[in-house]
Amino acid sequence: MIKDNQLIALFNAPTRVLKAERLLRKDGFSCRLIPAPREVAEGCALALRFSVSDQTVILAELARHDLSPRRMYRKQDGGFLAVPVEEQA
Amino acid sequence: MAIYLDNAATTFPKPESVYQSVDTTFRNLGVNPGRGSYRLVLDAGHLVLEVRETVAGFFGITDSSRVVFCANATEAINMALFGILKAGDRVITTTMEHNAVSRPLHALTMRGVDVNRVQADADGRVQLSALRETVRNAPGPTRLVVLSHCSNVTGTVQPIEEIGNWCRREGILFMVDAAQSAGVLPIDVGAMGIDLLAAPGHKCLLGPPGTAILYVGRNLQPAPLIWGGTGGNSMSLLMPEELPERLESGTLNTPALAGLRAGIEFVNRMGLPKIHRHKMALLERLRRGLGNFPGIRCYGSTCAEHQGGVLSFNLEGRDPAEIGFLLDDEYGVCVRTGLHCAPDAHRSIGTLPSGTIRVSPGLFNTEKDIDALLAALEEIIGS
Ligand SMILES: Cc1ncc(COP(=O)(O)O)c(C=O)c1O
Repeated sequence: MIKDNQLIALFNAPTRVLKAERLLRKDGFSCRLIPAPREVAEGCALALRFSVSDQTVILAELARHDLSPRRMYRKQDGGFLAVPVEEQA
Repeated sequence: MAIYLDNAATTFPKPESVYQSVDTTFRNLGVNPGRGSYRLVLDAGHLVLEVRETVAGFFGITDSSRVVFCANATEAINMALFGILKAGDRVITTTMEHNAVSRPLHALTMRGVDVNRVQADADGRVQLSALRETVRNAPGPTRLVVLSHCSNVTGTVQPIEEIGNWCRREGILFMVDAAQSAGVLPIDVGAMGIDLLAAPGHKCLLGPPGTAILYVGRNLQPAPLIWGGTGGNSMSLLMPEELPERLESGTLNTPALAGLRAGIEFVNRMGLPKIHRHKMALLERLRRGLGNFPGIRCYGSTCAEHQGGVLSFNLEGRDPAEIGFLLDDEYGVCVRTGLHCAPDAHRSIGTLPSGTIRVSPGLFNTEKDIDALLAALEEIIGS
């Protein structure tokens, strides 16, 4: 579901993650909504998956629309490593 | 074409007659029933009344004015709980409830309502003896017992007739969340001692989204959840005392209600026993197929008599969310994973925090759909 070169971003509300996806798709970014893995989210959240190579531009675009994710993770050694959101934005 | 196996969320597709009724009504009778008095409005009013009577007949309700139309089961449940319960009242519920019941009850505890929970057994079943025990051990009298007829997580069917008749003898109000049972299992409010019944129209009654009903027993007069126009007695600033208007402010969804009637008529034509058998046969096929895989754990009862239309399971060591994703992404199979809005029920069966993979076939699913799901799972497990 998630590859090593991909990031997943979690938002604080279902409507926000949908808005973020719609915005990025309109901009032509490749991204996809997936169910958040149990390691990073309790109780049925959606996560936005995109490529690490798009990280900077995507976060800037989301920040510009006041849609910054709350948390981000990267897959590493079979686990999930938290990636700070603010530094990137 | 995707294989849809999430009918516990909402049934899809609907019978052709449902689509046609919605379309015909929307095109020919798309006026506001109860608002104004020209013929079209009266025709729409009659149509709504006929739907009310169809619903009443379906649940053994003698007075159709006690049937209130709502947007979904959640609204119906909120209307009942907030309309009936006051500070100081005690409610007994169970550890198997959907958030549609758990969250309003939690909100009501902030208003001084006391809530106690009966523990379900490992299959998710709530025994009358356990309920009696909880009522007996409570520090004060119990005003209301509320529970779901059939769990949306395990499919476990609760002995509501037994519980309802006991409540009636004890003078305790009895409310049933029939979200997963209406249109699958027989429900008769009189025989089952039900005072308040919440049922979605959009699930197994095969109606469109935006439809649900609340049945309010004869001696109850809930406070409204919403205040507004009811088409009559407009000079008064008070809501009418009469049902259903007291609880039905605002414009009704007439086309959807016409669709609901067509859905119930379809269910009536097919008959509940046949519907239940169809779902049980598909779930039994699934259960048997799953039995051939290593590391599968199924939840709920294996006894068809105690099961509604859902089966939950897990694959050892795998995140249900990932399995659901792969089923959708690579095989076009729609199942539900996670907590299904019912964390309490998952706590009861020991599946927090990841939940389960839930399969809920509909009337139009076939053995081929179950076999496709099994084949997909076999590949996922193998890889
Ligand atoms: C047991 C139970 N109660 C209540 C509901 C809520 O129904 P609705 O979506 O119509 O509000 C559901 C639906 O998932 C359910 O399964």
